[in-house]
Amino acid sequence: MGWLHRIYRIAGVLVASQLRTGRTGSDPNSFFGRGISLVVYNVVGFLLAYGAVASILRSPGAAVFLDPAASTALVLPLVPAIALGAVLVAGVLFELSNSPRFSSSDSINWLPVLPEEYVLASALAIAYSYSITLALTLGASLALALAAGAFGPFLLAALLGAVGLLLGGLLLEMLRAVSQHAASALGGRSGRFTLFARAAAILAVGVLFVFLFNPVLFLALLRSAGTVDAVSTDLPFLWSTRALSAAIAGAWDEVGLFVAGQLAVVFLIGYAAAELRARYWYPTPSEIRLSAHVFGRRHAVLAFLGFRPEEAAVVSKDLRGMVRRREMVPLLIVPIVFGLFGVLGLESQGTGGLGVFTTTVWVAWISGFFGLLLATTSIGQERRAFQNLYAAPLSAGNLFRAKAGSVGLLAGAYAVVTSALMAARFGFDPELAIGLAIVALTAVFEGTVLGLAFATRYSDFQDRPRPQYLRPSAMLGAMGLGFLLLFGTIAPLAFWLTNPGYGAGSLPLLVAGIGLAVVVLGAGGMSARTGMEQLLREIPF
Amino acid sequence: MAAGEPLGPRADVARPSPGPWALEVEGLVKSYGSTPALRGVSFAVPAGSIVGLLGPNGAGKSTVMKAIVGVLRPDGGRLRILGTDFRTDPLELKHRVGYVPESPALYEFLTGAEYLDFVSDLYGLPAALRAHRIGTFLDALELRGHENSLISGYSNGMKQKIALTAALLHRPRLLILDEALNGLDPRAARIVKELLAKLTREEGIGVLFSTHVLDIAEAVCDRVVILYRGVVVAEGTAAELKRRSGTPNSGLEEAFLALTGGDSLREVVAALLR
Repeated sequence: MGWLHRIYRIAGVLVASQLRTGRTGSDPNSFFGRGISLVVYNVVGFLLAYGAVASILRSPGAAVFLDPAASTALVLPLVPAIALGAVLVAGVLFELSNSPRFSSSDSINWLPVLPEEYVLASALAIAYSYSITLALTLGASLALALAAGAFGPFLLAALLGAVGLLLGGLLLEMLRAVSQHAASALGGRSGRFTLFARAAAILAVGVLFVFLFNPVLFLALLRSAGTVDAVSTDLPFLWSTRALSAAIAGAWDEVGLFVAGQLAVVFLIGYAAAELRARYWYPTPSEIRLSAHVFGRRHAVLAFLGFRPEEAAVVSKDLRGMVRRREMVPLLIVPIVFGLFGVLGLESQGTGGLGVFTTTVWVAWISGFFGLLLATTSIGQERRAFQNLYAAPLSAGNLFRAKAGSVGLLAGAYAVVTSALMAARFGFDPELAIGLAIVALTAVFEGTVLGLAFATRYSDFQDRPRPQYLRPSAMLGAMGLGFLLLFGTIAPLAFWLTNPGYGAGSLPLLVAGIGLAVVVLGAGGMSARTGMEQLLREIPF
Repeated sequence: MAAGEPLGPRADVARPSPGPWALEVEGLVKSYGSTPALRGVSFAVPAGSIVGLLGPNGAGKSTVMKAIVGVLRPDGGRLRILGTDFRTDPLELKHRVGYVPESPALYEFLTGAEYLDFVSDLYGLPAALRAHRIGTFLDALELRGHENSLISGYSNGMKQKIALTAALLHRPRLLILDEALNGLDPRAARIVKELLAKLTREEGIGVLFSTHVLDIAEAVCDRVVILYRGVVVAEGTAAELKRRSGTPNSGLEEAFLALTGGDSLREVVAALLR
């Protein structure tokens, strides 16, 4: 059973790598640096989710708006899909961040480990790391299932949820290998076009992957088209969902069929991931040459925007990095997928008041989320090259403006382009389109300062084996706080945009939205600036 | 302990003629958690000289250097760079200091030329001057022809050359070189050594230079400071250190081993072979 022990040990190292992210100063053997801590997080999460839903079910009048049986039939089949979707989205954002510089020199490549063993260990580590999503979903589902007398299907959902997590991990391993190949495919060529083509290839692979294999997005799209039942039978990665629907209906022969089918799919995906790993683990060295460099070229646009030369240098470097660094490209995948999802999924809302409201909320939230995501990762993505900025004559203010600038420019461009596309698609008049863009840009600025406030305090600078840009707990905090504050700003502004003519009636909404935005920008900006000063006092690695 | 004088900083060791100091380190203290890394380190680098900082792994050499360039914040002690307390105006002083870290982490997604241009921007070097200086370094260090390739494709030695160029571009008055000759081919190493000698003699810059290659230290450095477990155990010229350690006719390596507890080496090797 040596191979089983090897898989266990490798998975343990990968989990420890994630848990100890950014904890260079603390005791690595403390409870929070050990894999067992995830079990505690899961148990706490499970109990909290269970308690929350159970208390709702017990509340007076719950029976009026919540039918446990119908809710169980709706929620339980989605448990594996939610687990798989969460692993895919989070994994694309945070699991593919290993620099290609280390892809070939990772010790795992020269230790006596088979590709199959590594792929399984890595998938298990990913599944275990993100098991909190399953714990939360199962906690909520248990309360419903007990009320509906569906404990048997619940147990099956727990099992298939775990299978969903593992499937997500295996799919990510496939994506890791395929994107590695996409990055290497143009090796040996020269010129800037090659760099863009390489980034576009990685982006295309990632977008396709997340879109095709993310059942949460897929189901939402299918549901909007009213074809869930017809299609889920034909899609292998939805067979868990199909099996659970059958279990709730009592059709246990169908359950056996679809569960066996789902397990076969997991095996096949695992086999494919191991094959791809064996074939593409070694990246072709990058030999791209650019045309002759002109020294001292002025950053005219950045200067026009008010950046000092040293700030413009950092902004320019960061923007280049977004296109040229393979590990940064995945950060673009999720906003693009959500943008596409918005274009396709929001169509059914129409162009009336509800359509304007949901479109504004969606575009602004995704833009703000993109800004938040880029900002939270903007310090950690420097990795150990951050020492360049320490030794250089840059003040905290310089670095704050440079980082906010590079994030704001990229996410701002995304907000403007997405607003324009959505406005064109749904026939918004020019005033409404400008309003949509302004709300989206406000969200971008909020996301940027919030993200920088976290990034300056909780960034991770480690290079391998499982680098994160920000400590996972801080990322959860940033996303949670960002979601609340962004929604708090966007919702009243979107509502005002829907009905600007209400006069005095809608004025409080406008004031509330703008007021919250000003508070978030002011407090977030100050916090980010203070964090940058603290960060520059001493290098954190 | 080998024969020779007792360990510990020596007040009686003659320092070079008191002139303007490029660097003065006094009572530097730094701990990582509960582990002391530096325990009252004091030494100085006169302008126009190269001082070698030697010591076994973990002695605190890199910690001293990082504290000097502002990457680490010391817990206590005083740092004066070019006569000015570092805390007075760190940004202005950084303009006058060049630093090559032990493991240069460069932005590998930039080309060599783009990286050097980026660094020049940070130091505010005029365009014409930077083009001239970068071109000169590229030619001298045989990087010409590679400058428009991504750094990710460079060998370790080429990366080291880029890091060295970046540290020298703005003509610093104080150079901090942490194992800076590691990975360089013999020709480049000789060029750098002669360049350092010229820069110190003719332009009066001060250089603090750490290395494990004691032959290089002996050949390059005017004076040597030996750090051991966070304390300066010896300071002086190579000849002075050899005399103090009781190994006047050997290389600096013997003196170094004698001063840092290397007399038990035979027992260690014997134990390894058992």
